[in-house]
Amino acid sequence: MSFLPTQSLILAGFLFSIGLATVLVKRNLFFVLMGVELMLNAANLSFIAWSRTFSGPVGLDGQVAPLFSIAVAAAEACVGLAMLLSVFRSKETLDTDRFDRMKE
Amino acid sequence: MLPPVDLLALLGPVLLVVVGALVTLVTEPFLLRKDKHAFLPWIGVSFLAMAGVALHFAPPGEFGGMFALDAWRGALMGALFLVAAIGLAALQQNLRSDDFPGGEPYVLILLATVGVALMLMASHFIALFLGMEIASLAIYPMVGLRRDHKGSEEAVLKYFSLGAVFSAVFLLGVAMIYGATGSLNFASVLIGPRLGIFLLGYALVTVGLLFKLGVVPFHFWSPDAYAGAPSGVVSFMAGAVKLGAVAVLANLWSSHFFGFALLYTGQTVPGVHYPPAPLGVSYPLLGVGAFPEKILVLRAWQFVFVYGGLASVVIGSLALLGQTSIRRMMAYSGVANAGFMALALGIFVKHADARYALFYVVVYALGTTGVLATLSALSGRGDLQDDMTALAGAGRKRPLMGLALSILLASVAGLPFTAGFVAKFQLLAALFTDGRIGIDALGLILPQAMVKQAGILFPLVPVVALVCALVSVAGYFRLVVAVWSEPGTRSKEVEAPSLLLSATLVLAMLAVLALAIQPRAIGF
Repeated sequence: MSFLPTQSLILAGFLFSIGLATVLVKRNLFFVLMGVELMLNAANLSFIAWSRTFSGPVGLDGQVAPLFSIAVAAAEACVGLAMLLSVFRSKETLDTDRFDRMKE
Repeated sequence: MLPPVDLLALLGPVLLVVVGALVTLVTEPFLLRKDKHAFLPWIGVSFLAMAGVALHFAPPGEFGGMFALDAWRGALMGALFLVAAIGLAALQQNLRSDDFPGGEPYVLILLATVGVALMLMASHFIALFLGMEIASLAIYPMVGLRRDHKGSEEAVLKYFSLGAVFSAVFLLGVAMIYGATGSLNFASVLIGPRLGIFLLGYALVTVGLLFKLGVVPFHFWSPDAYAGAPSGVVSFMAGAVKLGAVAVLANLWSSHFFGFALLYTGQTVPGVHYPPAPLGVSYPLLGVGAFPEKILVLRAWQFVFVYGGLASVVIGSLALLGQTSIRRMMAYSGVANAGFMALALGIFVKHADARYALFYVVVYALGTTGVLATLSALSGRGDLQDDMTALAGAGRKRPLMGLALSILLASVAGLPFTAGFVAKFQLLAALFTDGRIGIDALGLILPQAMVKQAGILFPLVPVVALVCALVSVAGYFRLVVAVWSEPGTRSKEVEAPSLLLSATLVLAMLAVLALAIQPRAIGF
């Protein structure tokens, strides 16, 4: 097939980097969760991009994989948000810098 | 290659654990709080026992290239079920003394067991990813179980955010491997021009798994996560997660050789893949292709495993000496032992022999889970007595727990007459036999002439690992001495261990002593 995945992959790379940068830079835990979601979506996008380069049933693997990962990402967001709620109730903050009491 | 078998027969043991989790979940609301902690773990353990029996009769084979079962996978899964039983018992001890209002954590342990079992059996990336996430998503909430304790939130936040990031990294790696091979099976054939993508994918996937294993430089989460979680949860996750990670790394790397082997034999059609092989057996050894020794990339990975492993051994062994919290000490012990496992995987990458890593992880998982489980009985309500001085004399009051702690800790430390000794001895012997393993790995970054000169010095890697193993014994010894010494001023009354905890710990002790005498029982 003549489809070149380069552009989609560059976009996926950008999304992944933005997600990673959000996780590393942002102090609010909500943004950390959002960054992780962005990273997962970048992975999904690259699955789709690669699957377009294969013809026949080989390409289907790459289209099915994102369905699973979307389901997993939803479950992960559930656990993550529940955790944020419980933390916020006891600490009244979601600032990551406030969680550094455990250093030896 | 493994014969194809029926899916239900193959997944039978895992399905029994799923049913156990569901039965526990459905029974939970109908019981009084006191009865929850008395009955639910027994339900879980009885289903785990049934799963163990089913595992014994499960046929070796594979289904659709997705899941496989063979001798080593069976051994790892047997160890996993024992680890889960000990974890349930330890969690029962914790929750009973905390007077925890619900019984759901038992369900989470069973579900995490299902996840790790799928990781062990997976030979397809989707199956692996789902298994990993089922395990992780069940373990995250358990780490934050004690909402009113001060370290708990921080532990769960650190563990969750890092775990989520690394699972995204892992998934991107899977996407790259798919792009380079056209298949999500482990043993898929690389498409020639996409070598770079393939290597990138393997790097990302390996990073994701090394995080789960807790090898330097991906170890920073483990001391905090361990110290903030209830000791029963730590006992389960310390053993189970490492079992899954090592099995998957060994499995992936034998398939990694395979991709290259076929690349060099010229078969590069997208989507071509082969049925899974038994764990620990490399495809080149099955006569599929020549072992591609000349490939620099494989030696690069040898470098990562050997020196990452060595750094973990050094950092973990030295850091555990100064710890007062036992959970924190066992976390650093986990880092050191993950280092030994990485060294064993280094041997695997070079010599295609995974037995050292697999035997080591089985023995380590039983040992560390048992040690932390005794802690759930000895350190009292809320694990508040989780340090050397408060534990003084605890073994005299509860001799069985003290004995289990001593024997299992000896196995973790690698002292003679325990299986830990066999595992460490064999691993170090293999490293000494191939004294050049560290030197060869250095050859990637240093000029050849220098490496040749350095090669005549001495086998650096095994010597450093041996010294660190001996040094860490001092740290473990302090704990054993504390437990058997005179009760101090901070010692309190130690609650009685539950029948389940005593029984499972006796099983773990027997397993550790039996594997020392007969390591062949699980294929070593």
